[in-house]
Order: sequence, then C-alpha cells, then structure tokens
Amino acid sequence: MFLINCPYCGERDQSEFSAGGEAHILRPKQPTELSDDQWAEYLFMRKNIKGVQFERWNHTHGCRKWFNMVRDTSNDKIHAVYKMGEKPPVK
Amino acid sequence: MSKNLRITNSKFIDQTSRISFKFDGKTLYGFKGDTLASALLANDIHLVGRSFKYHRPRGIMACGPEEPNAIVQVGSDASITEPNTRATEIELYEGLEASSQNCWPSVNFDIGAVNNFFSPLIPAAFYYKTFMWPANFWKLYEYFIRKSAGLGKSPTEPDKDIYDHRYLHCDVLVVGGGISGIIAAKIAAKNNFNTLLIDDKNILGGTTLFQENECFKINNSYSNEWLKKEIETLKSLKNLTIKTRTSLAAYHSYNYLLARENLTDHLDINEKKDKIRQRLWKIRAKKVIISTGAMERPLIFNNNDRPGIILSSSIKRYIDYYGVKCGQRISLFTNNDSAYEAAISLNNSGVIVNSVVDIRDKTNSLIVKQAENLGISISCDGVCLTLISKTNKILEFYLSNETLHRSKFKKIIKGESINLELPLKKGQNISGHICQGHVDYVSKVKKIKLIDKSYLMEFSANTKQKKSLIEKASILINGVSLTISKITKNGFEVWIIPHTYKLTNLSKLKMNSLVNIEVDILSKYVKKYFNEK
Ligand SMILES: [Zn+2]
Repeated sequence: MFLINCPYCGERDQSEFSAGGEAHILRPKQPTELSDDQWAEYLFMRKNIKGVQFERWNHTHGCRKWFNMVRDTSNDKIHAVYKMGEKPPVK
Repeated sequence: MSKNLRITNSKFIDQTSRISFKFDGKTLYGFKGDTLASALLANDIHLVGRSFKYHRPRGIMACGPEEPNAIVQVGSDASITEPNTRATEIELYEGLEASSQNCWPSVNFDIGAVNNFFSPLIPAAFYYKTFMWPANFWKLYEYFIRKSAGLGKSPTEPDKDIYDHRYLHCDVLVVGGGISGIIAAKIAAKNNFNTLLIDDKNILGGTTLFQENECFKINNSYSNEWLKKEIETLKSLKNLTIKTRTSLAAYHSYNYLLARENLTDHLDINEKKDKIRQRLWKIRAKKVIISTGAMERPLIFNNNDRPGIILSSSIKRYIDYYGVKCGQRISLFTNNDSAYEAAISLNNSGVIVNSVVDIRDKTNSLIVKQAENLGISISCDGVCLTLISKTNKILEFYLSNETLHRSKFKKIIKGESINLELPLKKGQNISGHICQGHVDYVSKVKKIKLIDKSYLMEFSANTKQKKSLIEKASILINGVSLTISKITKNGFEVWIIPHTYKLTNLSKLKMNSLVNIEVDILSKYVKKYFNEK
C-alpha cells in the first residue's frame, strides 16, 4: 500500500487513488492520416518497463485531479510527483 | 487416571478464581491467567489432536503463536464457532468450549489413525480424490472422507459479533514488548517521537517476565525485576501508546501494517455481550522496529511429534508462568544451554528432572554448572538410556520399542551384567573414539581365543554390515571402544587387553553370546557422502 503525495492534497493512502497508465503519450495531430498499425501502436502499445516508469494517477477519492508520478516498478519506490503539464524531472 | 499437574507458586495465575471450561465435551477447571493449553496440561491432557494425513496423535508442543499441534475448534454455536485456533493463544474464560479437530469419532479413538499403519501405501501428495473412482462408489466413500479430511468446521450462520477497524499514524511502531521492544519504545518516546508499542500477550515483558536466574542479570538486578521497573517508566511516558493482546498480521510497503486487537475474546461469555470483539488497526508508521524475539527450533529425532514432547523454552514458561509442570518425570534433550534454564526452573518448583542429555562435548557456561547436580544421563552398554530412578543400588531405565528392537536388550536375562559409563564431564580428556550410544545392530560371538593374557574375539557381521568396517578402525561393542584388528569372512576380529577384559562384561561372553554393535560415526558419514546403501 503506497503512501502517495498528491501535488494538491499531500500524503494520502493508495486506496484513494487510481492508476491511469503510462504518462506523456502524445495524441497524434492528424489521426485520419495514420495507418491502422500506427493507430494501434498509439492506442494499445505500452512500454511496461521494469524499472523507472512515468505514470499518470488520479486522486479519485480526494481532489479528483490527475497528476504524474515517477515510480520504479521493480521496488515500488516513488521518485517524484508533478502536476499535469509540468515538465518531468530529468531521468 | 489423569493427575493434577498444577503447582502453586506462580505469580501470574490467580488461583483464587477458578474457571470452568469444556474440552471435547468434558468439563475441566483452570484459573484466571491460564491459556487453554496451560489449563489442559494442568489437567494432564496432552493428546489434543490428530495430524492431517496419517492421523498421528498430536500434543501441545509450544506455548505461543508457534504452536503447530494444538489446533482446536472454539465455540459450539453455529454462528460463532471458530476453527484452527491455537490452544496456546486462547486465554481461558468462563464458559469456553473447545474441541479437537481432524479426528473422528474422538481424539482418543480415531478411525483415520489406521492411515498411520498404511503410511507406506499413502505417500506424500496422495489425494483422497483417488477414492472417487469408480464414480458410483463415491456415494459410499464420501461420508467417511468428508469426515476425515479438512481441519475444523466453518460457521454455518452469520457472525453475530461486532468488529471495528481504525486508522492509526505514528512515528515509530515497536512490535513486541520484550527487553528490546521496551527499550526501543522508551528511547523513541523520550525523544519526542509519537510511538506505538504492541504485543500479542495480555501483558508486556515476553519471557523476561519470569526470568529470575542469577545468570541473567541486567544492571545488577534480576531481569524480571529490572523489567518491572522499566514497564512502570514506560507507562508514564506521554508520547507512548501501548496495545496488548494485539498481534501484527501484515506488513505492506510504505510501512503500512495491519494489526488485530483482541478486545473481548478473554472475557467470560456473559461479559462479551454487545461489546466490540476485535479491532483491525490500519497503521501507517514512519519507522518500524521488529523486536519479536526468537522461537526455539525443535530437535530432529524419530517420533518427535508425539504427545509429551515439548520445547524446553515452553516447559519453562509453563512451569514459571502458568505454574504447570508438563509431566511427572521430565528428561531434557538439548544442543545448547537453554534446556538447563528449564531444568533449573523445574527443579526449583520441585519437579524431578531425570536427565539432561546434551549432544555437545563440553560447555563452559555458568548455567550448566548451576544445573550440574540436577540430573544425570548414563551411557549404558552403548545404548543411551534415560535414568528414571535410583533407589537401593538399583537403577531403573526406560527402553523404547526402537531401542529394544535394535539392541540386544530384547534378549537380556535377569542377573546378566552390563557396562555402565557416565557421560563425559567437562574438563575430562577426550580419548578413545566418538560413541553416541546409538546401537546399529546385534552381533554374535564366533570365536574366543586366549593368547598371551589377551583375548582375541571374533564377532559376526553380514556383507552389508561389513561395508562400514575397516581394519584399525574403532568399533563399539557393548559400549566398549575397541579396534578392529582384522576383517574376516563372516565378521571381524578384535583384541581385548586384560584391563578391558577385567573391567567390562566382555569377560562374561561365551560362544554365540549377543553383543550391541555401534560402528564408527565417521564411517556412517562417509557412507552417506558417497550415497552407499
Ligand atoms: Zn488530491
């Protein structure tokens, strides 16, 4: 059970949050120009890294805001949290 | 006839408040402060269950959460009955009803115990499902297999009790209230950390509560007295919360822990009503200190799962804390000093300690010196036996079936003489070879020849037995260490010098007399190493 430091509310229990998958995936500017393969790549393919990963989280049972998190999936260490639109910390 | 095994010197048991409870339908009595296990032992009840598969008899073996055998069903009401609880963790209360599990129709007469005799036919990973074939026979098997499989019964009606859960945040969580836990909690709280100390027992202190041996002093006072003062200081600290009867159940990441606090389980059945039974604590701690202490590791030997075989640390707790002696005559088998603590406690409470059998060669600790005059273990004819009594120049020993089967004692005649040897004492020179007192087989005398005041004797050995014999190696004959001079066609020869001949019963040997043989332990290890049969 993580203790997550919401950028808006502070430290809260993991049970208040929900995970939203990999962060910083840009939506293609012209989806109509993409091939099926490229569209599928954008829609479904995720890195699923063992190690440091950038993720989106939502404070579902709190402020209900989305934010980003840098987490090491091998040991569940949370390295940083930052608001949407903010630059990710350097790797 | 069962005996009362209670003694009256415990400070922790209130012998003025008698409690009645039921075990397997029989009404028994204990006292306030008892656990179900200690009360059963006080009533001389050892057999409390059956093993899962072979239905071997199982007795109380420990005194706390480490108990593997005394697993019982508590409560007869269909909504509150609880399976798989440890008798060692159930505090006795008025109206408690408990029963053994995994036995039918009763723990003393158990039909499933026949599995034990068929055990060669029921290997590990054998499934009762085997009986499902042929399919139309299942109707017949099912009733009996359902009875013999599974541990305990689950409740069939909704739980009527009230439960609660709460969150708790602290700077330091200390798990376990023994010496280290108490010191850790004290230091943390004194340094302005918001501290929580939890312990599964009803009072803090762990085993130190009843440790009043000279060998275990802290700051020049007996450990139990020192502890009492420390607990008093602890209770006056502002930053500290103490929770007893609370056991930690889970330790998740980011120091998220779950603990269960028992609120009414120890109360009389009438006092339990309308109260919260248990509370689940969801703890988030900045630092966690695990100070749970250690559990005694059981020694490995044949049939060590039998009722009546108890960990020595538990024997000590039962006698010192609960005022219960685990038996009338107690022998201790050990590879370290802790058994001597139990021996001393038993002795101080007037229980006879037959012997302390120590597998070590020597030890320098004070506690062993203290215990030295209590008991004695004697190597008898090369068989390590336990002395039961010593009266009028007659020594009484207990021989198990295994001993009888392996050694020549099966065929011993009244009046026959045997060799006695005391265990090696500390400081004595070690000579000869290592004898364990575990007889391997019985041989016959094949030849006796007097040559130059010495005797040359030949003993029988078959091909398999001869494999572990080599010339010039040591061998134990009736507990006498001798050297093999020659391996012969049907056995081996040894020389017996006049001194040995005079002092031992080897002088009484005739043709075809039986002797106990113990081969050199080294050869056994070597054989094992090379995987020889
Ligand atoms: Zn928030």
